[in-house]
Amino acid sequence: MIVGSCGGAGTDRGVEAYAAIVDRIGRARGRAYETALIFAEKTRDWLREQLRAAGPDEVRPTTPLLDEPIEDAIGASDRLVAAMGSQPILAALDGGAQVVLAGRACDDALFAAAGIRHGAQPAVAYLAGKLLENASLVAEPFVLRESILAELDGDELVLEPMLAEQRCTVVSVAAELMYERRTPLEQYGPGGVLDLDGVKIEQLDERRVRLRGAVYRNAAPTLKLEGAGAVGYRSMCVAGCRDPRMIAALDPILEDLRARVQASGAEVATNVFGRDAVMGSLEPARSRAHEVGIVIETLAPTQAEANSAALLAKRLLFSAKFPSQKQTGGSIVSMIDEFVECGRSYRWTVNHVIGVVDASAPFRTETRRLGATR
Amino acid sequence: MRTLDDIAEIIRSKNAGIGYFTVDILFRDRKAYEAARSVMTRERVAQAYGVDLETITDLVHFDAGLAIKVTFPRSVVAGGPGLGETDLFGSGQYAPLLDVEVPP
Repeated sequence: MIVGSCGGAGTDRGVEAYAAIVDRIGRARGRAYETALIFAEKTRDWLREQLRAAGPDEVRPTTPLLDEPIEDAIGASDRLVAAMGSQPILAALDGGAQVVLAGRACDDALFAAAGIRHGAQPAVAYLAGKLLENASLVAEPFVLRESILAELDGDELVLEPMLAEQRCTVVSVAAELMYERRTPLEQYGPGGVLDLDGVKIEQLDERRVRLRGAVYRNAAPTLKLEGAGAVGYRSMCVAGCRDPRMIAALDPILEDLRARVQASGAEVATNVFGRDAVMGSLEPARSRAHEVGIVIETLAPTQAEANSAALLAKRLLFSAKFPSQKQTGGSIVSMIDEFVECGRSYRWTVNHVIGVVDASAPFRTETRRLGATR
Repeated sequence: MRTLDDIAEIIRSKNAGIGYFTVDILFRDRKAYEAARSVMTRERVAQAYGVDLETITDLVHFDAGLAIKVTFPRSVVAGGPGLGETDLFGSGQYAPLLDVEVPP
């Protein structure tokens, strides 16, 4: 059994948490499991050292939106991980592990390692990984948390859902190849690239799909790095508005509100549901809603300050002034006279790809015998 | 005239990494896909969203999957630089493409 990225973020805490689960299950069953724990968390100093060795041209953010200097990004990071490929997992399996608990890992590598260990062609193994990484989402109708069986045979891959009411179709498989990426046609990993330019997807029978034509090429070793840093504490308040004049005057009202909350020392954002809360500046629709929901978020160095700012925002909305106002008893409606504490808030600090000499070296593996025989 | 929403099997959006929204449009049959492929250019997509052509960073016609994929940058990084997130997973950004007309 291979599990990754333990805990979601794939930090050391996540790996240890899963180890505790495996240990508890083993003890309950009177079984012992030879377990490999592969750690992916790195320190700020480790990343600084990688940069010194690699040079500035070898570090690329995955989006221009991460535009602060990399040194500042590292300094702002509370936690950092590197995403492992299949090599460290393969090594753990070759070492005799019955259970592998991986920290941050490329999703497809978890499955690819198993396939390659049993002699599958890398292209087919990585394609299987790509299609299995969201399990039953590769089949239709839409069902979460069900199992998929992949058969890897030479240069062919066949997928079959285990839940009787699901089936894999060309649409469902193509959709999964497209999922959460900019292109279905190629996927880079730490040591190579899966090229699907020539892939063929066919309905094998009513419930199974067969794929052929995937190609895997080695590439210069790289690592994807991820880091997050705290930015303060967040609070939220929610109000409704059913006054047509206030709805028409919302922009200047919210502009004034934001200025006054900022002056009190907090950051603030306003979201108008029924207008453009979902798409923001991309919203093309211009129709006027009869009712809107206003969600205000505040961010401040402490929870108490964020809460005060949310309370201030609510009061400002309640007492807002606008032209030809006839409602003089409070222009917004509330369900409760409260705010919502959202706790500590984080941002992406690092989301970069770095050229390395050895894409497996950063991942430390520890073997443990978890559980206990009776 | 029929629209993408009339003939597509799937129209959805999601984040692609932390910096992009990506929209997937998939078809059950080749004729519908080919008709849609002919109108779904970067220009048409930019027009639907009311953005400059350069904003549409990727447009992929995936013939083997009878699928079209459109990608454009987020205005803020996923989760926001602090505040500023409107759609954490990017799942609500496809609606402007529903009404794109597709000739027979």
